[in-house]
Amino acid sequence: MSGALDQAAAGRSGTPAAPGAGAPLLEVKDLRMHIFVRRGEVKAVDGVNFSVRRGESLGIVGESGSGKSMTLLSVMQVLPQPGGRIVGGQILFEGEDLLRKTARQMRDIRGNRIAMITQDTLASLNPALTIGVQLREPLEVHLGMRGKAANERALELLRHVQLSDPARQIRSYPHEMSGGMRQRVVGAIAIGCKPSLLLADEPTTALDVTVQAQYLRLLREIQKETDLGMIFVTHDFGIVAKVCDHVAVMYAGRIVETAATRELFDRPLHPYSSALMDCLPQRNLDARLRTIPGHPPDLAQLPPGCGFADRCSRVHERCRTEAPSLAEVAPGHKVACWDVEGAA
Amino acid sequence: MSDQAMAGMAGATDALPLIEAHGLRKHFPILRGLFRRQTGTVKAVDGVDFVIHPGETLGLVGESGCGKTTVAKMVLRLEVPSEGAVTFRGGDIAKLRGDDLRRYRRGVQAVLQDPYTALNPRLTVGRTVSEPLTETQKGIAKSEVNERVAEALTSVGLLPRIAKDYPHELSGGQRQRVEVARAIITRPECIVLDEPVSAADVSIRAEIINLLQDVQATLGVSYLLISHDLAVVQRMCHRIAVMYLGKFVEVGPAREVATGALHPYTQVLLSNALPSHPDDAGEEIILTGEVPSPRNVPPGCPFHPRCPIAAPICREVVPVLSAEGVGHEVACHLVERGGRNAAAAGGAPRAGAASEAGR
Repeated sequence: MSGALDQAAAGRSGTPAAPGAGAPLLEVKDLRMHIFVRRGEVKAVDGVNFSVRRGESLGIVGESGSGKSMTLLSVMQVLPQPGGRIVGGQILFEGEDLLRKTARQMRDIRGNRIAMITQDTLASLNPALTIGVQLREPLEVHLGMRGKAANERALELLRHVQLSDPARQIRSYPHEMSGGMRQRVVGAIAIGCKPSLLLADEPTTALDVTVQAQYLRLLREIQKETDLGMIFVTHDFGIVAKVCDHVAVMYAGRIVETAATRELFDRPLHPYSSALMDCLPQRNLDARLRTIPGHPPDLAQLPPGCGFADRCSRVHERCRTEAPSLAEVAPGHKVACWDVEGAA
Repeated sequence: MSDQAMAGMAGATDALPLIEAHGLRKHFPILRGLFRRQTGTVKAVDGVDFVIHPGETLGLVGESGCGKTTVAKMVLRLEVPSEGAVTFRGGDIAKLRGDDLRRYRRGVQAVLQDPYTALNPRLTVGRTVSEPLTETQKGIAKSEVNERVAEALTSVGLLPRIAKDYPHELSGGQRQRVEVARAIITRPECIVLDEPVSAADVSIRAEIINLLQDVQATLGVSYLLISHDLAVVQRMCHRIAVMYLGKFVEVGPAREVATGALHPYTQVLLSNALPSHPDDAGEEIILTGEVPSPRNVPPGCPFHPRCPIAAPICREVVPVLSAEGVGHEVACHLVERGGRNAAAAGGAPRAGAASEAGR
């Protein structure tokens, strides 16, 4: 078994194609993930489409409860239990539908070809094991590496994430490290098996600005070197501006606008996108900050029309009865809004 | 904000300071072994001076571990300074007892970081909000407490009937508002804000920033704002103090520090802040390494091991704060008079600045 995996790993780490060339690395089509609870069906992910190519990073932006983390977990097929279920759609990864994989096959993919970094590094590292053990585990499980080879690779990974004194650090425990160091270790574990897709869920939220800047730069460097496809989930458009090539804005389980990053910043067409952007404290320092009145709708009792209607400044009658779907308004720029003209 | 900043500054000059810190130090002993021998000292705060005027916001910026929260705790009299003093309207707060202390507690309140843990889930909003009042003003009439709770909730934009609710019934933004209501119920003159928005979603963050500014405009309260987010600090503060390993490295008017930072550390922080547009992502100065531990402060300038422009003198001589403009002070050997950074200007580091160095 290990031989086949080794080969697979070797195949993946071959010469990278030009970024963005060829078929998408990940293509998500009409994905629906609902959570069945006593009070009903929470439509956490409600018909989401997006794609990511190699060497490209996609930002998924929205408030808490917009379904952005749930989208990532659906791709990984680690669903909230009890009650979480994918009820429709396709997740095509390197041409194969992940929803048709068995649990065992998914285990071979997770942490290997698709890696994930979460917000809380202290929770994602095991406090009772040295970081060396935790670095070697995926190498042993997925690539069949053993002993010295695994150790060498672990050290190489720590050097790669620019951790000082890797030979000593590999024997230390998570509690002996600072938040920034732990974040690097989590990054090293994630890229250990040379994944082709990296999912990052608010990886820098709790970090100091200096450490955040270090870490974002590191992720971009790794992405360039290994031609990774990356999905970055965040509530902060500032992070998108810094690291993402494309953006999808999510609201109430749906994508309401998607475009290339620069295009979206220059021409946000959905009222939610521009509202979220104007919330940034670094924008328009002389004016009062714009806020978004109200709060996101209950995903178990979604209104029939547009989910944003109650908070929208440009709401029409139609918005309350009929949900708009994503429509292309410019090449690569799609919006789900009945009043796109009003944005201009 | 410039008008507001100006107003704040103008108001600041003709009023007596509300809170002053003189040579504030906090050293924690490191105790080891059976006999708790002292094996070292953590210099959490190592000699800072500042003034907060009525109605003014002073921002304290720095990385985790730089000592900013310890400063806040000393202002709140939750920690006793090892050296130096905090004064409130001229009187040393360490000497306050009994009624005077309770009066101080009413006068200086706090809003802390995490709205989810800061509220007791078993107390109603009304109980939570009224606590600072009932604790510092014993024997206050029930009817007056209820009135004050309603008044505080109204001034943070909540309906008074929310007083009967429990925290779990509130949204994140409402919880933050409840915290602010609790801080203003005693009609304080100063509120210590310790990372009040760093855990919040962007939309809630914006709401709270606006709310805090409104509260200041209507009540004239002063803020000591602690944050690692320069954008928030720049937006809310009249003056900013940048802290590194227990010391201030740059202090000045907010706008001036944010646009014309002189200390290399401030410049790093600014260059690392998140952009508001992809085109604003300017040249980044990436620091290598971690913040050194305050138990082992490097000799000379504490920032020199990470400083992108460190010169030989920085390894030996501790720089002191010196004036570089009106109310703008910098502790760096390499800053030239007239407010230019030697390296930024392309010049060689100026060794002559050594004359004013020393502890």
